[in-house]
Amino acid sequence: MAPAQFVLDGQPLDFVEGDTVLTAVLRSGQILPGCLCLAGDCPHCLAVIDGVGYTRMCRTDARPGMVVERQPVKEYPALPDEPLGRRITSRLIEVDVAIVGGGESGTAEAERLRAEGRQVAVFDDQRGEEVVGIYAGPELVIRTPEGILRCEAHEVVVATGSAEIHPACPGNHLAGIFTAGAVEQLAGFDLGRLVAVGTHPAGVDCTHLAGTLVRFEGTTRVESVVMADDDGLETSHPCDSVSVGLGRMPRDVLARMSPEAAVRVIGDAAAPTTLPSCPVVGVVCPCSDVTVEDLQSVWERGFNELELVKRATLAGTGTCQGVVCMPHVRSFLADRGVATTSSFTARPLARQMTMAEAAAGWAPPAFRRTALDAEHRALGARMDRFGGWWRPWRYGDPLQEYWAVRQGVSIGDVGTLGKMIVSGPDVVEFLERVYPGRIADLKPGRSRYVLILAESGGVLDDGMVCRDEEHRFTLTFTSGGASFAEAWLRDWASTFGTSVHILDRTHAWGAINVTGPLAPELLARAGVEQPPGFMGHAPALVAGVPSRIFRLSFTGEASFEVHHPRHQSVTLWRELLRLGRDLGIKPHGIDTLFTLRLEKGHIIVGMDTESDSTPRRLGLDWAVKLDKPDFIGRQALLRSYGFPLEKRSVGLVMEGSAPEEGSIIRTGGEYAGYVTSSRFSPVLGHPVMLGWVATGGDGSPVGDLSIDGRPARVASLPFYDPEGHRARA
Amino acid sequence: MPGLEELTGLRIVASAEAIDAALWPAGSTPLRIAADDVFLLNGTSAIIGDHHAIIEPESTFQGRWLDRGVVEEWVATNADWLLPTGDGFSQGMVAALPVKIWASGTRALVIVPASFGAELEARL
Repeated sequence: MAPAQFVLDGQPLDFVEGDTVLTAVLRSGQILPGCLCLAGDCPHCLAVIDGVGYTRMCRTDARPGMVVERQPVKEYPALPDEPLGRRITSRLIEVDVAIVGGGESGTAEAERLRAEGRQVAVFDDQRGEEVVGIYAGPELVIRTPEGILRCEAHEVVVATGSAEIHPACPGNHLAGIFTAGAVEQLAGFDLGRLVAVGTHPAGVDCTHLAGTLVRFEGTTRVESVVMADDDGLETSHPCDSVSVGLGRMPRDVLARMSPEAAVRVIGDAAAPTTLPSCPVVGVVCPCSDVTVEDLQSVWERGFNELELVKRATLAGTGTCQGVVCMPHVRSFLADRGVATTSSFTARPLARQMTMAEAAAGWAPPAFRRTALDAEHRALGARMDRFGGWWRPWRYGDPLQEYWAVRQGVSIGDVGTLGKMIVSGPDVVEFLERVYPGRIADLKPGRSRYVLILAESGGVLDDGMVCRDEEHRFTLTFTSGGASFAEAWLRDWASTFGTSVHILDRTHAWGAINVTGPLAPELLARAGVEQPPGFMGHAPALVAGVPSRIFRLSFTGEASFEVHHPRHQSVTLWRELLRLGRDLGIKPHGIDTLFTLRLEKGHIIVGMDTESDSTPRRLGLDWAVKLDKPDFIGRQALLRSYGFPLEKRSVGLVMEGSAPEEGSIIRTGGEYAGYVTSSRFSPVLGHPVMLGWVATGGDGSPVGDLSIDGRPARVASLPFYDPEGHRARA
Repeated sequence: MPGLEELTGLRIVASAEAIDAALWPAGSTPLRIAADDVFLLNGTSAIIGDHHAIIEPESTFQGRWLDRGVVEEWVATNADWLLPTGDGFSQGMVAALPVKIWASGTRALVIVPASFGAELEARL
C-alpha cells in the first residue's frame, strides 16, 4: 500500500499514522529554522495549511491530501486568492467549570470536580481545542475542528502547564535547534550529531555540554555550539542538532487575560518563575525580530517598565504572544533593577484566528420592512435603507410623483414613523416635562408639532403629540427616532416618578399618507366624508379599514395620515390606488418626499441638525415655551440663550442647478457654513436649500454668500406656500 | 423558515399589580413581555383592574411553532444566551433579531415583530 501523503510546498510528502505535519516534515530529513518546541508555543513551525495561515504544524495532525505551505516567521502569509468558502459555525454552551488544559493537573482537577458532582468541560489543544480568549463572564472562546465554541462557565480553571524557555543568543535562528522537550518527543528521529545544553533530554543518548551557552554557529543549519566556562573561556562544539534545556515558564497567557475572580490557575501554570540569565546579544523576540540591542535602545530612551518596553519594541505582540521573548525581556529588566513580578497584561486573542472564525455567529443588523414592502417592490420601486427601514426611494419618474402630490393626489408609506400610546393619571404632567411645547391646553382630537430635546438643549427628534382622550395621547416620532423613543420615554417616566403607561405601536400600525389637493376627494371615495380639520385627528373607517386619520402636512399639501392595523395595510393601499386611478393617483417615494418637505422648509432631524442644534439655531423657538416650569433641556436653553447666535440654519436659494448636499457656503471666499439639504424645486423653478451659516450677533448671515462659486442668498421659510393655505385647504 | 403566521391577540400595558391579578380568558396565553406589559396571545378580551390600562388589538407579531430542538440549536448557534430548560417565555437577540420564544413541551413558538418577519425567515 502506498504511503499516505500530503503536499508540502508543492511537493508530495509521505507521513505515517500518528504524525503531525511537523513530525512528518522532520521525518523526511527537512529541518526548520529557529528553536522548535513541538508544544505549540513558539512561532517556528507556522504554515498555511489548506488556506489557513498561522497554523502550527506541530499542532496539526497530518491528513492525506492536505496542502501545506511553510510560512516564514517574520512574514505575513499571502491571502488566498478566493474566499475559502467555509461557513464557520459558532455554538454557545454553559458548564459549571471549564478547564483549559488536558494534561496531568487539568485531568486530575476534572476528576476531582466531577467526583463532587460538578459539571466539567475540559478543553485541550492536543485535541484541536484552542482556547483563544477568556472574556468577562467568564466566557471562553475556543477554536475547534467543528467551529467556534463559546463556553460560559461559573468557574474557569487554567491548567495549561508550562512552556520551555527558548535560547536568546546569536544564531538562535538556525535550523537544528530544539528544546529538550522536543528532543524527547523526537526519540527515534535521525537528528545527526546531537548535543545537549542545560537540562538533558530524558531518555535521549547525546553529548552533554557543560558551561554557559554563548551562541550557535552555522550558515543555515547549526554546525557548532559555543559554550563558555566560569572564566569566560569559549569552546566550540561541532554538531548537527542541539537540545536546549533552559528551564520552564508558566504558560499563563490565558490566566493573565482575565482579572476575574472566577478564573483559577493550577499546576505548572501557577508555578513560581525562575528567570533565565540576562540576554547579552542576539534576537530575543523572533516574532517581531526584537534584539537585545533594541531592548537596550528603548531602555536608554526611558522605557523602563515592562509594559512600556513591550509597546516600544513590539516584543510579545506577535504570534507566540510573548511565550518565547517574555522570560528574556523580564530578565533584561530585572538585571537593571526593575522588579517584574509577572508578565505583561494579556488580551485576547492568544492564538490567531481567521476572519471567518471571528465573524462566526455574527449576523448583520436587520432592516425592518413595512407591511407594504412587497407592494412597493411589485410596483417596481427602488428600495433603499433609511432610519433602520427598507423604504421606497422612487417608483419611476420622481417628477411624476412630485406633480401628483402638488396637483393631484398621491399616497406614501409612512408606516415607519414611530408611534406610541401614552396614558395614565400623570400623563399630562409627564408630557409637559418631556416636551418643550405646551401640552395641557391641547384638546382631545387635536395635535401639535413638538421637538424632542436632549438635556443639552440640542434637538434629538421631532414629531407630533395627539391627544386622544383626557388621559391618553398618541405620540409620533421620526422613522429614525422610533428605535429609541420607547426606551427614552420609559427612562424619563421612571426618572420623573410619574405614573404613566407606554405602548409602542410602531410595528403594530401601518400608516399611509394621503396627500395632494385631491386627497379629500380620494378620502370621500373611501368613505370619509368629513375628515378632521388641520392638526386634528379622528377615528374613521377608510375603505372599510378601521383607522385613525391624522390631519397634518409634511408635503405642504392637504395631507391625511391614515394609521391602521398593520395586517390591513395591503388592503387599504390597494383600495386607495384603485379608488384614485381616475384621479391620476401615484405613490411617491422618499426621494420625492425630500423635495416636497424642503420646499416647505421642514427639517429632517439628523440631516439638517447637529448635536448642538438648539431650537433657536434652527429657527424653531416658537415650539419652545420657556415660561413652562421645566422640561428636558430647559436649563441648557436658558444658559445658551444668553450667548450671541453664532450660526443658524437658514433657507437658501440660488439660480441654476441644485448644489450637492454638504457643499461649502462661503462669504468673501471664507468658510461660512455648509448646505444640509438641497433640491431643485420644480414648482419654484430654482434650487431650494437649508444650510448652516455663520451669523453676526443679531443672527444675520455675515456678508454675501456663495455656493459652488455661484451667488446664493438667504430666503425666508417656507419657500412654498408661505401662508400654508394649501396644507389647510 | 417560510410559513410565519400573523399572531393575533391583545396587547395590555397596565400596572404590574393589575397584570398580576388579571384572570385570562380560556384559550388565550399571556406572554409577559415586561412587568407592565403582556401580549395576550389569542386573547380577544381582558378585564384589567387599572383604569388607565392600554388595551389594544395586537398585530405586531408573527411567529411559528417549531420543534423545540430546532429552536434550541438555533439559539445556541446564533445568540449570546441559551434557551432555558423547561417551559417558559424568553426574549433576546438571536441572529441580530429581537426574538421572543415561548417554549412549551416539545415545541417552541418563535415570535418576531412582523417588520422583521422576512429577516427571520432568511436567518432561521
